[in-house]
Amino acid sequence: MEHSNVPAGQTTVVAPVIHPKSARRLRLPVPDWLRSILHNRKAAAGIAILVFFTLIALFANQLAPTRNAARIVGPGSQAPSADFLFGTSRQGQDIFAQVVHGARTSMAVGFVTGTVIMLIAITIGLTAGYVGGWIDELLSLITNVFLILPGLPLIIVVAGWLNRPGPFTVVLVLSVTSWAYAARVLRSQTLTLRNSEFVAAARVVGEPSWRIIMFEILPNMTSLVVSAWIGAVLYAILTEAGLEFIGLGDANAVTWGTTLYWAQNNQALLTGNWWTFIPPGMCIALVGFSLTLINYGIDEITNPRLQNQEHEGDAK
Amino acid sequence: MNRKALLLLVALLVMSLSLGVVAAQDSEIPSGGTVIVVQAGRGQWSANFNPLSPNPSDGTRQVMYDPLVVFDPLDGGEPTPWLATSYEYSEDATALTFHLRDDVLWSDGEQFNADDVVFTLELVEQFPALDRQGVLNFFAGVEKVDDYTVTVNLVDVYSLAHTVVGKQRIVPEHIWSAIEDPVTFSNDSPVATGAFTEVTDFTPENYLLCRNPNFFLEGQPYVDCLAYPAFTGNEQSNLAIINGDVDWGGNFIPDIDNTFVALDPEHNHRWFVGVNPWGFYVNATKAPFDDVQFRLALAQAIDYGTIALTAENGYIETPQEVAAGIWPQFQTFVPESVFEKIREMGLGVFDVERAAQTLEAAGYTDQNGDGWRDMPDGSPIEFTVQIVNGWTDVVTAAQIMSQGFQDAGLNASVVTPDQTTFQANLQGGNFDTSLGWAIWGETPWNFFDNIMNSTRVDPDTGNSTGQFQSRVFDPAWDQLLQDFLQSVDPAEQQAIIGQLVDAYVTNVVHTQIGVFPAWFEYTTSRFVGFPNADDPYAIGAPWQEETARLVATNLRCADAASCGE
Amino acid sequence: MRFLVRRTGFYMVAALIAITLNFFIPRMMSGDPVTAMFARFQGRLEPRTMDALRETFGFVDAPIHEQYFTYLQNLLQGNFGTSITAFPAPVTEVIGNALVWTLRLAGTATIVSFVGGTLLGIFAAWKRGRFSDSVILPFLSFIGAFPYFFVAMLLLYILAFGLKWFPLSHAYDLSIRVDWGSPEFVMSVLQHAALPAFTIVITGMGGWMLGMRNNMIGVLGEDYIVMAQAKGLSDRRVMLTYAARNAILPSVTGFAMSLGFAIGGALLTEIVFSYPGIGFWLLSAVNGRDYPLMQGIFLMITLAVLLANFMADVIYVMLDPRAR
Repeated sequence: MEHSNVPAGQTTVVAPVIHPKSARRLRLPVPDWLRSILHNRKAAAGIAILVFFTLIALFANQLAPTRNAARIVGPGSQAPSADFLFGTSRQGQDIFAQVVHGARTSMAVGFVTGTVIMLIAITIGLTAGYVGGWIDELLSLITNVFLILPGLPLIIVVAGWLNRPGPFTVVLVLSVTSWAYAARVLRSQTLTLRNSEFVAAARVVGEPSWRIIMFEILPNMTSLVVSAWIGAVLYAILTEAGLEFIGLGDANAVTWGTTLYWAQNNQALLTGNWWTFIPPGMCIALVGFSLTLINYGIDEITNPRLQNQEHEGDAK
Repeated sequence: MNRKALLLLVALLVMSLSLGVVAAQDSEIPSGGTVIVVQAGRGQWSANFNPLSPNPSDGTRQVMYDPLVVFDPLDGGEPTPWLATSYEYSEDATALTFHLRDDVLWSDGEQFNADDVVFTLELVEQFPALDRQGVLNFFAGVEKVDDYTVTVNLVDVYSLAHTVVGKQRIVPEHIWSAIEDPVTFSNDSPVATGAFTEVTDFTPENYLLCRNPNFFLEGQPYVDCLAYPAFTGNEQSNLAIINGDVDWGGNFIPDIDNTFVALDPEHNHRWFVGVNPWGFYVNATKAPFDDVQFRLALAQAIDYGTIALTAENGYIETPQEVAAGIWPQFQTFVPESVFEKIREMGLGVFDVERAAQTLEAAGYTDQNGDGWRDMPDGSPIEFTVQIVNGWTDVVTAAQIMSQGFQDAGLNASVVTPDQTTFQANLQGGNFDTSLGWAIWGETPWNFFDNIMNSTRVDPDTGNSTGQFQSRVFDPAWDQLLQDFLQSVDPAEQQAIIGQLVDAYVTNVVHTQIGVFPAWFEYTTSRFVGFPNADDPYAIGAPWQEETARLVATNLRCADAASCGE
Repeated sequence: MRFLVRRTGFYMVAALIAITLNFFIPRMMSGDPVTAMFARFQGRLEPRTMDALRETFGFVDAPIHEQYFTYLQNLLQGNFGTSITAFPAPVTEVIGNALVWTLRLAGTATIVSFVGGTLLGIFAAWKRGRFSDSVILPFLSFIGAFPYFFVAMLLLYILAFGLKWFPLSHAYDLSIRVDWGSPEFVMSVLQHAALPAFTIVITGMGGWMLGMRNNMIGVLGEDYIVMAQAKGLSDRRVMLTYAARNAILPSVTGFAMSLGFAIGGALLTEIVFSYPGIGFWLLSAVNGRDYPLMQGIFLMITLAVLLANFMADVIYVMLDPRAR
């Protein structure tokens, strides 16, 4: 998590080895694109896990009908049983309901934050890379300043400043503080693409800059954008949990992070109530792992060397 | 080892020799050993042994610097003589005289006398930032009568002056008169009169306070040192307590009977006494909280029993009498008629149906069909209960309360700002409803003064200096509070409190939700002499500023190993 | 050289911006230090006392631009003011005491994690599909997907509290006198650092390993590697001197940035293991509205990151002749 990783998908956006030629191959009709992903075992497994949790989030109300999953519904510290699949917290809240409804908030925060981070990164990175000149200088400076501002401390301060902690705050804070790394990677990729033949051709035809950025350059970085986006989502989910765990979240919200926070405050492991601690932690880990797997897959698909040699490796 | 340490060692040796003599005289009580003290998560230490500073290191105000008189909240403020043997007011009650012990030495061997007391009070007058007690509310000068007698002059009759001056920590004139800025003075090598004055091995993670060789109680303290390790949070210090690494703890430990006491029932103990009243405040400057019927309905919709059981682990009980605010601490002040009124109104008892009836009768019904009650004029009611983020037991209490309000048809939710924002909201009146503690002082006056005194609100800014205020006010109550201070007649004071408690209950100014304990757990495997239900000589919590000294001077090692041999 | 001069110019501008943000961000938070203190006191401070304290802490209402210039002036003189949560200790003292521990634990662990992960990554790329590639990498990635504190808490409970293999808390045995010359004390420090360091290493290594592996694979397909192999150079030499040298460049940049995060992010380690350090002070400073301390820690972290980045630039120039 933010502990030792740099923000927004460091693991996956290091060394974008995408040449215009190979990136062009990605401009395929959707079914082919999807097929190649599903053909990759790692990506397919990741997608399966992710779909599973997405379904849980979507049907949270059907799986655990309640108006408010934080409600105290039964006796406290009950071990898992038929009544309470994952037992109850020390306060008597239904952990199953919390995990199911928490999936909704935690994943929503993750995906929304990841998307906002990428939108900012794309806007700034592509503009800087394509337009160049003093605009590039300025945008690069801003990007680099955000890169060196210490992330977690800044998050703590901004979260304190907004003074009403909650999932929305987390989205806002993480978006504002975490877009710089992706923007820098996208900018350098744009610089490469700007000098390519097909962009030159579009310029000759007289297409306006924004059209070239949107319809020529961006589609050629799809895989890079997708893997950076997945990295950002993973970062957001883990950081949200971390913030809530140290008490900077809203203790009343129902998310995996707050369930862990309460488990910790009730000293779940000390009192033997492992069921309040393990399920939400495992959920975060599984969703995180699924995202990592998908990114593995995308790397292999877009980088033929990774893929070919992987098969060689398998054959050995 | 440097020279200083060597000197210290020599001093310790000499000390233990002389103590050997004492022990020979009183061979019953073994001496020696280091007691490990833990109180919640304090992070890391930064040396500050200035007892008048706002944030001295633990132990400074507890066992290092002494007050004139020790007031134990447990005894309803019953005084124990300490540096002073007695005190009395003048005929007209505008002067307060303390008679000091004449056998007290500072830890460096200098004689303690009236000059030190005069110096300390004048220092506080000169530097109001040092006024921890509130002496300057009535202070009109101090006079030395003789070497062991001082008289404090009061601006006007102030019947609580003895509790305020009595708790003043006294600092040595011969050291402090040379200190340029006593506010930022961190006092790294303290000279004091308390039982433990020698700071040893200070690091941000741990330090020891060791015995004062000149302590005035003969033969005491029995243990050599108190150690204060720092922990980052409750969780971490609780693990240490449960692991048996701690002798004297003041922590909230969930399910303590199973997680701690049961591990070694013979030695591990806990003793929880209710001393911290917690209550529910509304902001009566906003509708509908200005309506006494609405406040009454809220009080009826609070599930006191579940709060006691769930939020406080069943460590407390909340009978209906708690609604009187000052029960049980000052129950003798509460007229029987007030208890009758409480029962009649249905205060202090969870009854959602009755709350709904109260709301219904007062015109709060669901007019727009959204499932929540609205104002009689049809506008919707929606409010929040604020509580500090991270104070999980009271956050749980707030959740239980909002659940009760919802069941009564009110759209209530919990918000959890951080502690500073929470406090700023309260002082500025930017809240709907809030949980918060109240103060039980040496007399019930402090409780009502904080909650019901309108003069605590600044008319220009609207900021309140009160502890917590629902901002339900009446000029008559201000007068009663003033009258109490001007009165030196106990019967008259009793009558005034009777009127105040009646007004408090009748107007549902504030709703007490329970009296929370001072957390205190200990293990007797190494040290004995802790207070408990059978020997309740003081509140046990090590952070208790007044009474921790009574405990610390009474502890003694249990066997040769723990005595340090 | 021109590259380094340009970078230095950039770092100066960035530092100035960071210093300015550093001034304004805390002032946008609600409540002031005395309110925070009042809250901690549970309201047992008199209004008169609070006013006097406000003055002592220097929170009189000067216009904001004046406060800003005083702040810059003080910074130039290396004067960070007095901490309020650790009152009356100077900020520099508080940071100094804590930073040593953070650098020792989080700094070392991050370096170990980076070096170990990178070596494993090189190995995994070289021996595709073997144990390190097909077992260790997925395993570390799985661990890396857990929230850090979750792993740390579980290990604390199981290994330290349950099995008692490691100490529960603190940086050394509190009953031992602090003395870096004594082997007993140093052993105690190592014992206490083992478990927290292990949690940092194990949760961070997967990312470095994956990054390095993918970079290596990219480089291994380059013509000059094929050339080198064709020339009959030893595998080892090709792997380390040719491939790894080029593949490590992006990781170095990433590592420089992660160092700053390691300092700030040490917070969670410090909380879980009750370990002394800067992260915990930062959280206390935020909660206590301790502007001077907050600013001091912020500034220090920013400067540390800048320095790390500059060093990464230097390494970059050394490794990659094209950047000269």
